[in-house]
Amino acid sequence: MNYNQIFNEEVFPLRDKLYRFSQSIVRKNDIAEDVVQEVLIKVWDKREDWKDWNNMNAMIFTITKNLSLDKLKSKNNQLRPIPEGYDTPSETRGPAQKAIAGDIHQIIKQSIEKLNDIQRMVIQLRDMEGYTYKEISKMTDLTMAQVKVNLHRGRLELRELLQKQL
Amino acid sequence: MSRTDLITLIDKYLNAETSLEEEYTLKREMMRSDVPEEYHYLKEVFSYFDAEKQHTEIPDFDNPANSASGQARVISFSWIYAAASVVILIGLFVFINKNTNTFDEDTFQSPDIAAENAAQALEYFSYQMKKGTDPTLKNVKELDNLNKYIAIFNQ
Amino acid sequence: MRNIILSTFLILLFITGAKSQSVNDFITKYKDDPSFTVVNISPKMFSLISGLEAEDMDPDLKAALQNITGMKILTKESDGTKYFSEAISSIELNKMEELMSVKEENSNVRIFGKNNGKDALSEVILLTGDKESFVLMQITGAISLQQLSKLSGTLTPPGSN
Repeated sequence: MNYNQIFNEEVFPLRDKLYRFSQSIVRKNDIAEDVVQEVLIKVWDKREDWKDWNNMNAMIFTITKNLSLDKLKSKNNQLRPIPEGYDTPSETRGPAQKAIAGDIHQIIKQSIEKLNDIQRMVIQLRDMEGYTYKEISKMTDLTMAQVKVNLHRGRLELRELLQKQL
Repeated sequence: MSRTDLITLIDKYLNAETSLEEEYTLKREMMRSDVPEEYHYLKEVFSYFDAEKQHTEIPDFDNPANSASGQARVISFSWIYAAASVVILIGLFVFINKNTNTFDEDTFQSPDIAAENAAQALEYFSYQMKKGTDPTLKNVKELDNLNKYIAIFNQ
Repeated sequence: MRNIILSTFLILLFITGAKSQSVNDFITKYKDDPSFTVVNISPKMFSLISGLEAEDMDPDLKAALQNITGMKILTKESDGTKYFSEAISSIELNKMEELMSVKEENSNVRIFGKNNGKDALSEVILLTGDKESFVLMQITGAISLQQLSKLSGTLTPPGSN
């Protein structure tokens, strides 16, 4: 197998997942897009090191995570904090409005964005992408226990945020 | 699945102790059973994850493996050389076929081919001339002279 | 003896080469060197060209071609900088007006023109040289730079492949 083939079969198809993953960290589509494009180029440029990577998948996610966090730090001022009450539906919304699925999804999205970076990341990888605890631990450089703790706290917080609203 | 079992499973999920299989079962059960009021939100969350996964618009990413490295850079210069090489190729062809040509003799016998080459040469000339008005280039001299001639014909 | 003749010849060639030449002389000097490409399109050919029914040709390009009566091109695909310098120093350019000069790190472009006493140019000379290529182009006729500036400036002429 040559580099091209490996990249086309194992790396490039990951772009959807990487994009959603980066999105979960940076919370902005255009920044996530930049991140993933940069990651793809970076991984390709490092093709000669691939043989030393124990778990290519995890490595790529780690690179994406780090780059996303870097972007988050460098763009800190623009990205957070999301101002309190900004674009959040008021409590007085009636059932009719709640019934609109898009609206509910908007509320969920905003609640997920309120989680801290790590909680958001592990929830994304587990609940959306369906990775095992072990895989997530490798991708995020967290121990398995840390993955579970963060998942647990994130899920509780989501319950806290959403039970009232929905 | 009974209501009690469902609630047990939800608790396990919240504690991050469920396996992937159990989570799959949970999601399926949430869609079909009568979910207690307090967990309605979770049903929506699952449906949100599904929808997001399926409907995220993924941007068109460039595949670096398919764009041979440096290609982009080469392209920006290549048209100058492309033009030159076309001229050279035609010229070589002519040279090989017509060793005896003296310089005042026409290079091309067919007006069509001559026209194409002349057109190409003019396009090349135009391309080079535009460099004179390219604001990104430094060291552009004598632009006034050029503009004078362009202006004459503007009138 | 042979060496002396050869060197005398070379020196003579050098001296004559260093003297001012016409574009024609310069091209003639290299026309038999296979690493150069020479193109000549005569006034007779241009009169045939203007009679062509080239319907698929860009109107601006067609109009520009109508006013041209002759074209000479010399190109080489290497040592551009060297031949550029040689051409600049040896071709007689005094009687021409310098219209444009772009000097970048590795490439040079210069355009010279001769006024025809009216509003157009009777002759333009384009010289470009960089590491990879050298182009000398002489166009005669009643040349309108305005007209040339309207061209797309792409290098694939319409109707060719």
